[in-house]
Amino acid sequence: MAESVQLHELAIPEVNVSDALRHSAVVRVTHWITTISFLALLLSGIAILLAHPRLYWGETGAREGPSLIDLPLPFVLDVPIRGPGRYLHFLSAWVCVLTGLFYLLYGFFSRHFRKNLLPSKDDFSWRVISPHLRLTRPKPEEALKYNGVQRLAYIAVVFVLFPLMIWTGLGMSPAVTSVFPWLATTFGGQQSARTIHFFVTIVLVIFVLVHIIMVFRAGFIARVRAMITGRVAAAKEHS
Amino acid sequence: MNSRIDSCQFKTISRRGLLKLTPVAVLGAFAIPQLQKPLLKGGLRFSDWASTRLFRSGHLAPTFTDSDLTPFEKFPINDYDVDDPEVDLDKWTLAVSGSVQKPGDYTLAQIHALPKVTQNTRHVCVEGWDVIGRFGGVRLSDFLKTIGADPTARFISVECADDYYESIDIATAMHPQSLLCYEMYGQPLTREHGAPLRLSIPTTIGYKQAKYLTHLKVSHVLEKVGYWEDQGYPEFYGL
Repeated sequence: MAESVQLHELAIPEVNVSDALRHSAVVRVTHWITTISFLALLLSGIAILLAHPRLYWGETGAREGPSLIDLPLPFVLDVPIRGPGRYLHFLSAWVCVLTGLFYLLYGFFSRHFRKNLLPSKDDFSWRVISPHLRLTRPKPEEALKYNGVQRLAYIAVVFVLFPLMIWTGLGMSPAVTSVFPWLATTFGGQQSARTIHFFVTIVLVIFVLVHIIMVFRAGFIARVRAMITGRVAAAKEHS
Repeated sequence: MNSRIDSCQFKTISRRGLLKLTPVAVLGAFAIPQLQKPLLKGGLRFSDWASTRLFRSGHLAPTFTDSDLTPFEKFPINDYDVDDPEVDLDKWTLAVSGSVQKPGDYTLAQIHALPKVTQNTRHVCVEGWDVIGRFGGVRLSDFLKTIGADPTARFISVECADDYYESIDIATAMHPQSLLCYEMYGQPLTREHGAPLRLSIPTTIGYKQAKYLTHLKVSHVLEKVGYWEDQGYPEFYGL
């Protein structure tokens, strides 16, 4: 029983996502660009990780020394995996970063964050601000709970997890840390940054999985279509 | 209210067409073999460009105390081929060519005659590990002055006894921490670590720290970049 309650809570944020996206082509476009670049980053990140699937803490760490975690993965040093992995990682990282910056600027200036992501003290007043949102909610009384969970999850992804990924990614670069040493030292060093980069990836993958489960719970085809075209929500509004 | 909805809908429809085309166009471009590599390389090229903008000779890579040093026996030995290319240390010289006023063969004694620098710096491998070592040698910038390198040249390329080859941009070469290294941990370079002369450039990645140097060329154009770079790794490796 308790489980089913939780799943309901997870599903409601999805309702709001699609509604929010319907109102903004920017959010929809950046959502899908980020989706593609995240997938590319994940796959190429795995290719890069496989060159040395051990994690350390602090400034240094190497095969000859003690590790924090030995991941149960093989050491794969084949150039055909490593070379393209690096191409793809840096290409999609830039796509992701530039898309993210555009999204952030848009989010602040269009008040998207304030209106759609900032958890409101009073859900009722928020419904007054955007009455159309209620039309796509299967059960309006559930929507109140989902709202908070969804907002917090997206705030965490946008303002904590993605910035952490970029930060720790830059913290692994010898040239960048020579200009901004604090990028690595804040976490305790190069290897700490690498380890955090790995674990934030895990958190993001869990987020994506839960996110997809929620989309299924809310109706996969309708939700995905709403995220691409916004047509579902708009049609309901006119009916 | 109605007019707002109408305008929203109009925008949605026009963007929907674009949205449908864009992913197809992007994926289609990646499917064309001739475009694949330039597209993939775009990310790395942008990284290299961004980090070149960021790079300053006044920004030093972090240095460490002796207690932070990775023990010498735990300093990894990485090769693409052999640990010991059997350099004849007695007859060894460094062949200097390209845009220099004094080309020719330079002996180790001539290099030793330049001011010695010793520093504890990180050696960061592209695989993911890193160690802190004690490197001694002469500033590459001092050596470039000695050989009368053309100040307008853009690249330094080196060749090694094991047929490895590498190149660095002139800004990195002129960085005060970039060394022609003949000592590690206060001892002459061992054969596995690149005797008698290697590069030690803490602002860049490990595969740039070529060992067993035999040739050094100053140039305006690069014919080939480096062993790993020519298989897809970043060229500047700033990011």
